[in-house]
This record gives sequence, C-alpha cells and structure tokens, in this order.
Amino acid sequence: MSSIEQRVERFEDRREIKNIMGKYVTSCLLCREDTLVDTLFAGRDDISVGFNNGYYVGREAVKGYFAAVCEATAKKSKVLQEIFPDQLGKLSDEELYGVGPFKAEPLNSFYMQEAEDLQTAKAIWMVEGSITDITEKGPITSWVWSYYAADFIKEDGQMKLWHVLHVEETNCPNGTDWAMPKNDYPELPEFASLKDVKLPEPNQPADVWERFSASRGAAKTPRLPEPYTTFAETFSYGV
Amino acid sequence: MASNRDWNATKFPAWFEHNIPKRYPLPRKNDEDLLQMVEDIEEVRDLMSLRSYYQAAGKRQEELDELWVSEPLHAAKASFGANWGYYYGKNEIQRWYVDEYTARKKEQLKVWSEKNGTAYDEANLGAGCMAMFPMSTSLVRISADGQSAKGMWYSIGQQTEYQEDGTAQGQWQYNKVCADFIKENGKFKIYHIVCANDQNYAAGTDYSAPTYIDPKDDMMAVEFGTPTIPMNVHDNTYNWADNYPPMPEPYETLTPENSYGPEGHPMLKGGC
Repeated sequence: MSSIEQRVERFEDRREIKNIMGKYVTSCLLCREDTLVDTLFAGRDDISVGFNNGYYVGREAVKGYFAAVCEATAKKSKVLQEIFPDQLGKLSDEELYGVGPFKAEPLNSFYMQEAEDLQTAKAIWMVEGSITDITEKGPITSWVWSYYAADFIKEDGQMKLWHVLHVEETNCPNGTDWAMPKNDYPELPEFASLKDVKLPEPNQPADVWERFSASRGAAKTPRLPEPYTTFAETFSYGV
Repeated sequence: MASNRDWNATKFPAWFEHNIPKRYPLPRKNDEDLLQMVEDIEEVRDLMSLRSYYQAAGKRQEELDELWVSEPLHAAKASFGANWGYYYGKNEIQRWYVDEYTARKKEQLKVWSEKNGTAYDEANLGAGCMAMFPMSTSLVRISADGQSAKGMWYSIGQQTEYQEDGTAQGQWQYNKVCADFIKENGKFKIYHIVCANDQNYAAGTDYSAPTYIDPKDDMMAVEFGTPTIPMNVHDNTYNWADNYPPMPEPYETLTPENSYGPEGHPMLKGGC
C-alpha cells in the first residue's frame, strides 16, 4: 500500500505527463518543433521519435529531424509570400514563419501506467487530427487518425519525454473517404518549388505501422501500457 | 439589436435549467478521502480510455470480461443503450455486442480472405475494418458513498467496415457517451452505458446535407439489432437535441432511478 506522499506524487506525475504532451502537440501546432528537444525531452542521448516508417534515434537525429521540419515550414511560408504579396509581402522572415502549415492534433483517450518505482511512465493517446500541409499541389488538409504513445523518465524529480511514437492510421485529404484514399489534385506551377522539400529519412528505418487499407489485416492498436515495477521489465516505445 | 428581455427574471425550460452548473459542497472532508476521490476520478477516466482501445482492436470479449461488472446482481442489471433501445443484462449484451459482432466479423473475414487470396485465419478477424472512438471532454462524478461513479464523454469517432466488393467504407460517428460505474473488489467496473449518437454520415460526404436518415438506411441503427428493450432512448432526428443522457450531477448513492440504465430513462423511470 502506497503512502499518501507516494499517491500524491503519482497524481502529480500523471498531471505532468498530460501537460508535457499537451505542450508537444501545441508546439507542433505553432510550428515550433525546433523547441521540443530542449524543453520537453530528457537530457540523455538515447531519446527517440518514431513514425510509421522508422525511428530517429539519438539526440542529434531527433534534433535534426525537428530542425528539418522547421526548415520545410520556412520554405512553405516563403512560397505563400510570393503568391500573396499584398497580404504577406511586407513580413520579415521571422514574422512570416509558420504561415501555411496547420497541425491540429487533439489528444484523447489518455491512458498511462507509472512504474512502481515512480521513475518512469508510459502513456498512450488517440488522435482525430486535421493536418494542413503546403505541397506542390497547393494547400491540402487531411484527416489524420493516429496514435501517440510515449515513455517518460524522471530527471531532477520531473517527468521528461524519453521515446515518442506517432503512428498514423489514415492520412487522406478531407472530403474523401479514408477507406479509399486518393489525392487527385494537380500539381500547381506556383507551388512547384516545394516538390523538392523532403524530410530526412529515419536513421533506423523500419516498417513500424501499416496505414489502414481494405487489404490490411487484423485491426490493432499500439501495445498498451501495462503495470510494471521498473522500466527494465517492460517494453519500450523506442527501438 | 439589443434585447430588452430581463434575463434574470426569465424562467427557462427544465432541460435548460438542468444544464446550469450549481455550487455543491465537496462530499468528503479529510485529505485521504479527497485523495481517494481524485484517484477514483482518474481510475474511471482510465477505464473509459481503455475501453476505447479495446474497441479499436476489436477486443469486445475482453472488454466485457475485464472492464464490465461481473458480480451476478450487477450483471443481471447491466445495460448497453443507444438511440434505439437497451440491451439489458450481461447475457443480452454478450449476445449482441460480442456474439453478433463476432459472427459479422467472421463473415467479413471470409470475403476478405477470398478477395486477398489468403487462407481463412481468425487471427485476421477485423481485417479491412477500423474503429476509433477518441474519448474527450470527460465529466466524472463520484458518489458521496464512494461506491459508484457517473461519467460523460464526447467522442467524434469513426467506424470503417469491409464491404463485399473488397472495398471499405468509413463512417463518422458523433457520440455522447454516458456511463455508471460501480466498485467490485475495490475497482470500478462499467455497469450501464449509453452511447447516444447525435450524427453519423459516410466519410467523404457533406455532413450538413442529410438531416434525416431513415433508420433502415442508418448503419448504426441496423447494427444495433434487436435490443431487449426497443425504445427511443435518444432522438437525433434533424439533429434534435433531447438532452438524454444528461450530464451527471453530484449524488449520494447509485439507484436505478438516477442511473443511466433503462430504469433511469425519463420515459421508464421506476416502471422498468
């Protein structure tokens, strides 16, 4: 039986974990992905972020990935400035930054388990996301049904992100059926320069998660957090 | 134009008054009791989140076995309600929620296996299908006696079903979900649940267009089958808001009349 102090600590950790992931998705919404590692992740080197196609493992790789996301955002904003000179022409690069992409990812179905030793925790969320991207086909908004899952580790008494996993079930333009995804929009000459905007490949590529299709096998979710004593006896949302 | 109406003197209909937050004293006094209440609220939230992951993975049997009441007296009065009625008693819930669902999935899997050129294997049950019901906007009340809880969530979810022609069809579902929970061996379990659908429509279509769906064309109504108590639990015709199930209010102890079971529905109160 835990003491009252331990029970209160458990509740505070739970609240902190919710807040950390709230800040994570809000930072993405504000196109401030470049702040995530320094503000929300643990200071250790073995941090990771994983997606459907693999993992960015290690501090340098994770920072590099988020920096590339921000670099791409800057290019997208710049293209919009060229297309809309009356509205955006006078903005400095700093003022312009973030115009265009819009990533709404409300976190729901929060479920977590904290280790008995109170040093780590695991949590999962379900997301009905709406993501607007600026592409060579122009601005396209997509329904992105997804799961976030994460491991947390305590540093100086505070929970910090350790491994983040974000896997998409669907990514299809709004107005289409995600069961029969299609993106028939034509490429537009004024957005052509964005064709070359690519993010770095994961440094540990893997088939982490297959998006939904009519031919996909049994429905599943990422593995749910299970009760555990220390992190050594449970699984990781990293590699 | 500004209204001259005296809003302070205006008497609102009962369903509106019901939604005005009231100030209630906390039901317990000492720190340990308050901490227990906080933990209970989080336990109930976890339970409903867990249910949404079980739904997504098609683990309905596990949901019923692990998350729902099992003590005989509770099981006999457990209920699962939706717009078109209630399944009453855990055996009835099992019949529809698990057995009929599993039979449907097996039929789908036969077609899926044929279309994909693979051998029929029940490890693939749910292939070509997807369901996600993110639980948001939770409002949880723990009873003053600490033995039960009531909660309300909103879920903008989706259900995608494999079709006989080898394609799949997605459907948006906007659901208000309310539930009663009761403690068994110190853990909260689902006792009564009402999934009140406000709106559903095919993915990729204009959701402002179909304000009336004939029940025979409503995938959710058809899927709800033949409930133990067929009745109009929640009417979403023309997006009509009938305030059922209502928000949970602070309460002393769980009774049939204040529950989300059929005994607590305004049309049946005390008469079920």
